[in-house]
Amino acid sequence: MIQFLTRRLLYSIPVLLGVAFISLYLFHVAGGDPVAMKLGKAPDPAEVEALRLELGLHDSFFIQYISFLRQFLSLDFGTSWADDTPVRDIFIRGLMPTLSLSLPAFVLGSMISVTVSLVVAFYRGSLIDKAVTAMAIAGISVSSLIYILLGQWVLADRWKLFPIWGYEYGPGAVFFVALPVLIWITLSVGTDVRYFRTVVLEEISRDYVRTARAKGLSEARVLFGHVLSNSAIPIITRLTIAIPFLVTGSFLLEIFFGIPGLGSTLYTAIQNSDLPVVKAFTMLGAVLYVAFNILADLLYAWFDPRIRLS
Amino acid sequence: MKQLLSGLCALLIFCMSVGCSPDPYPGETGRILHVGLRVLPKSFDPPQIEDESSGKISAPVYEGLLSYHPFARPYTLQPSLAASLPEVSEDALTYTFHLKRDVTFHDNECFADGQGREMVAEDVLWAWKRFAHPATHSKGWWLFDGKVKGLNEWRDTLKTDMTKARDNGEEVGPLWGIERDVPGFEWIDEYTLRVHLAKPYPQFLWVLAMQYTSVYPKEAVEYYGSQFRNNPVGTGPFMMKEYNPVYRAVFKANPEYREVRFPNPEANPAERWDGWQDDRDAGLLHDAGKTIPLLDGIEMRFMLEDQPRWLYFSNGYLDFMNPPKDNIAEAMPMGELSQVLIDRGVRMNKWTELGTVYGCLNTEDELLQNVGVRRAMALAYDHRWTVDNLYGGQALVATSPVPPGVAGYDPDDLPYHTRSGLADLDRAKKLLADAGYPNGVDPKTGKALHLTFESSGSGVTQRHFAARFKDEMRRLGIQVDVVVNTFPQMVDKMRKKQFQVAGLAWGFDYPDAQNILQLLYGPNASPGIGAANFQSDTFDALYEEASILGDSPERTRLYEQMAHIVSDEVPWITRAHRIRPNLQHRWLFGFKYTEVNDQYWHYVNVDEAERRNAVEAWNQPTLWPIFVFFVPILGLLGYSIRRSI
Amino acid sequence: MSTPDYGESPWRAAWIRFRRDPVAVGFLALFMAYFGVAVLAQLVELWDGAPFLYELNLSDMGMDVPETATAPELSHPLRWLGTTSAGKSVILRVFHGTKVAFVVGSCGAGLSVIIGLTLGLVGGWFGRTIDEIIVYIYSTVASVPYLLLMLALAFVVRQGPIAAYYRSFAFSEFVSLGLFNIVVVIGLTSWVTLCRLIRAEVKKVRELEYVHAARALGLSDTRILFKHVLPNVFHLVIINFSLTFVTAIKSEVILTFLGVGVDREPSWGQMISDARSELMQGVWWPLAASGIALFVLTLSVNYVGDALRDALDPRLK
Repeated sequence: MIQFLTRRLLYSIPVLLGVAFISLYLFHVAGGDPVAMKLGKAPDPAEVEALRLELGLHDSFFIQYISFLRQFLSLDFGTSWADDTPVRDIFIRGLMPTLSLSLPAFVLGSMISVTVSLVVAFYRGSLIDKAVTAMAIAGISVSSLIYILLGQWVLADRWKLFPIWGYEYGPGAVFFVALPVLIWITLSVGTDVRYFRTVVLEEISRDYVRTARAKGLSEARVLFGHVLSNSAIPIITRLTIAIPFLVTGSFLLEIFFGIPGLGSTLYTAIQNSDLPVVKAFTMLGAVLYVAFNILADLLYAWFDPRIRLS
Repeated sequence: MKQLLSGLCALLIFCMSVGCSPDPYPGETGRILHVGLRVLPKSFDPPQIEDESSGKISAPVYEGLLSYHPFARPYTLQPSLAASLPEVSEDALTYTFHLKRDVTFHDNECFADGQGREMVAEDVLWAWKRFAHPATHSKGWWLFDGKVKGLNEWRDTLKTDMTKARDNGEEVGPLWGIERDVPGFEWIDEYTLRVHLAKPYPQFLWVLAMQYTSVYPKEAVEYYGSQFRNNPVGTGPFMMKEYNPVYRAVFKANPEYREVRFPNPEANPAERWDGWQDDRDAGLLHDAGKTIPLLDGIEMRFMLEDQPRWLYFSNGYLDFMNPPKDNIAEAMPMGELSQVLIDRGVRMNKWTELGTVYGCLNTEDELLQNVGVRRAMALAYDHRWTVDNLYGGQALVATSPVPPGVAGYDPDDLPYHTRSGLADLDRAKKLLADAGYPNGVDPKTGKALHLTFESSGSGVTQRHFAARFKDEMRRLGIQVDVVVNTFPQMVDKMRKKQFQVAGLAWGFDYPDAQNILQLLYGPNASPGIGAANFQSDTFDALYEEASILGDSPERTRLYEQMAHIVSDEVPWITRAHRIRPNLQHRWLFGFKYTEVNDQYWHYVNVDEAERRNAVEAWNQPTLWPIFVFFVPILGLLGYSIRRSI
Repeated sequence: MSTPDYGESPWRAAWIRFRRDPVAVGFLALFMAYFGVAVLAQLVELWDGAPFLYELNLSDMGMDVPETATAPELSHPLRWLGTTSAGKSVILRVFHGTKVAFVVGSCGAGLSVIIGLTLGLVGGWFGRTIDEIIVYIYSTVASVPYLLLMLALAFVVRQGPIAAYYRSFAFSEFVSLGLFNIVVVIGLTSWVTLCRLIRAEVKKVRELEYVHAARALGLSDTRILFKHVLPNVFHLVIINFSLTFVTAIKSEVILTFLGVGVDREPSWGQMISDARSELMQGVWWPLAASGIALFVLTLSVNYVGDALRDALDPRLK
């Protein structure tokens, strides 16, 4: 166990190094000149040079890479090039809005999809099963942009059920995130139900279920007693792996509904070539991804004693 | 279990029907103006305020010595922090300003006792020195560059001394050496100051109405440091209450604001301006004679997407709206209001923007340095089509860089840019052949000429324009590739001269043709401001001659000559001057939109009762969908769960 | 699939299983119809040349139609789905969009499959250091936040050396840079899943007796890979292709909306993102037309993909 953890943690070091390399390299090639953004439309050439020097843009790729790693280790990514705010503050500012959107969406969405897939598995082959599977496959075939555009237009503008746009820090957020959460759930339930249904069905087709049935246990007991606890493993794994993505949230929903969260912040930063912010977000995303993947493996072993970590 | 489930469902439905509230301003009280900006603002720090959104968020807070008259057109300057317009010496080199005596800064924690102190002449000079200070990296330095006596030397000495000090291991902050005197800025007494110019600078007073030269206390800069850009302290009628750079800026009225009255031309003939009766009839003078500010506050939200911003406005959540200038045709077919908006009593004003949309040609490019090729390209382009189709008729064909409303505008046909805007393909082909490329084929390689078009932004209009440009050039036999850039990428390419053709637009900083013509002045070529890298001795001589002249027929003639050269030598393919609408709800008063300055907030008022009634009437939740859609789904779910247990 | 069935071709068996579901066959037919439209659109453009039909206003074609948005009507086939705000036929744009969707979908998924399959085969087959490197590459790529990878790549492809490389190709005449951009972005961001699956599967296959036997017979690695290993993992490729196909055409919408996608020709993504300002004017038909076209195509690929998976993988019954 400890050996497994050490090995995985050690392995994550080169992975993070690689992520740092990729993100820095992409912006080296793609990024515009942030100096232009800072100095306006008629910059003094000498000043441009001075600022480039100050921002370290003249350094070779290798030196920039090293300083990037140093920043990562000290967890201090400096201040944003776009507005001089410390990256840490930007992160704190955006975390609440993002989580207030993504957490309810994730929790409610997972609850709904697990329940629905169990019910569907119970009625497998019946009309309900077919109807739900058809709805799920139809649901995932619609572009997310259409959900957003129509949701905003119909539910908020035509029917006035939700605010069109905006956000309120604190409990007032409920009103504002309600519609984006609804859209998020609509977007995710289809995929999840399809996946969970397969998992549950696979479990149902196993021998022990037949044995349990033969012993005369009720279908519900079999389903919720045996099947659920065994299909919990892949379900939990899938949900664990999804958690890191909650932090970056959905930038499309954030942009369209005016939620000042991390997703829209990252999107703006990429557009503005705001490298400190982009670097911090990349590394945060990568660390979370790696960490939760390890966690998922641990959980897997925890729930399923047949699997030995090595 | 059964009861629990149905109870839960009932509770959920109850919450949904009660909790449904479309109001995006919960708990708001008082007369608050609701504004939606379509681009994120960047800064509250006056020397950094270049973009439209930063200008809009800063205008309520800051004031300069002068400001624009809120209603008079053509644009007229009026004293703001200055007690009167300055006394100008004979040789137009010395300006003496007298300051108002009752001006105080906002109450703020940066002051020792939290009380805003009085503003004095020293503050003005300090703010201007900071504007010119090398460590400020001001975006507007070009406005002072070479204009004020001794200021460039002051700046250069500072630069070298700062480097020296840094090399000596000294701590060099952003205000290092700012206490040094500038010969051109003279302090006379607490309320009087004098500026000595290095050479006549007719645009100087316009500059003093720009945000760059606003006045703010040094306590604030010292206290907030780099965060001053997010914590403004000024003298204006509003002060900042809340600022989230990615979401909104909220302002409240400044209770200590000095007494300023809304102009009252009816009662007071001295305050009249040309066309004041029209403004009165348009209902702009509703609050004439009252003390400003009239509002209790302003809330500006940064709404980057068109759809929510439009929906906000049409439902009454924004008090006014300027449809995005680049897809007017999409938002308002043929520039007309939709029936819904007319029924809701929305007013529309239109004006031609002080600005020009143009295609910038890099005249140092191997192919484009050939003037024949440039002329052929200009002639091949059908501007009429752009105006009719991309701007829905809401634009004028631009024959030269100078728009109407500015001295130097020439409504006649010019050699390669005609009023009709129609393409002249035959002439263009002939020109291209004469230039050495018959049918667009390069005789050296035997292949078709190839151009890269740089487009910034991904708006519908930019995309369509790029597509059209490609088509028109194909008719000449030239192949065009379109590259879409982010704005920083675009600026980067221009500074490095790594582009051929770029789609650009310029908005005027002040109503003077010099502001746009400077882009073509030879010494301003890249890495300076002039991306076309245009070099013409005649043009430069005319520019230099005009640059020291005040507004006069002689200068207008020079501007016209320069505009003709641009149209003739085609460093730019000038495309259009956009006509822009401003939409207002019926409860908004005193708002005459301008684009050169954003101080209009000061005079705006809203009829809160009227607005509340209208918004309530327009936004009654429709509840039947909840019962039609959600109840059956929940019911089905509950039923199947119950069955399975 | 792990035990090869020499009695009857497994593909034939799969096809028989697939045929049992009439809905799947129906969707397959629908998919073929879309493909036909795409091919037809391309052929008409090749034959007709520029300016393409979709670029023309209906009034240019001699029809009495105003140059503004007009609602769908039955008077002329080109007006069945209405016109855009510039007075152009929506139906023609939807047809061209179909072609764009197929280019994006099949090239994007193709590129992704090529990368994923190659790396997966190589890693799984050769093992050791090569495998370690490949595992490292995909774990790293998977750890980069997706939004960043996608957008940054989109900007890089647009103007980096890759774009210059693209211009030197002959196909740059037919495939615009925007399209090429999406294809490369999709290809480079979505190969990881397939690579993982293939690698794991190849590792298993490698240890099978008949592969050992083939080795013992002295067959070359390439021969074994192509003759014996590839057929055993090919069902994964097909299923993954259908999934990535759908991802690709859905990503086209998002990327175009963000301004880094298709820009020189009409696409469904473009029509959907233009609807942002059109909807408020009550112009719903471009959105409806492109949205439904996209929906039906994704639906059929999704359904056929599901049916294929069931048909190819007998365990799931």
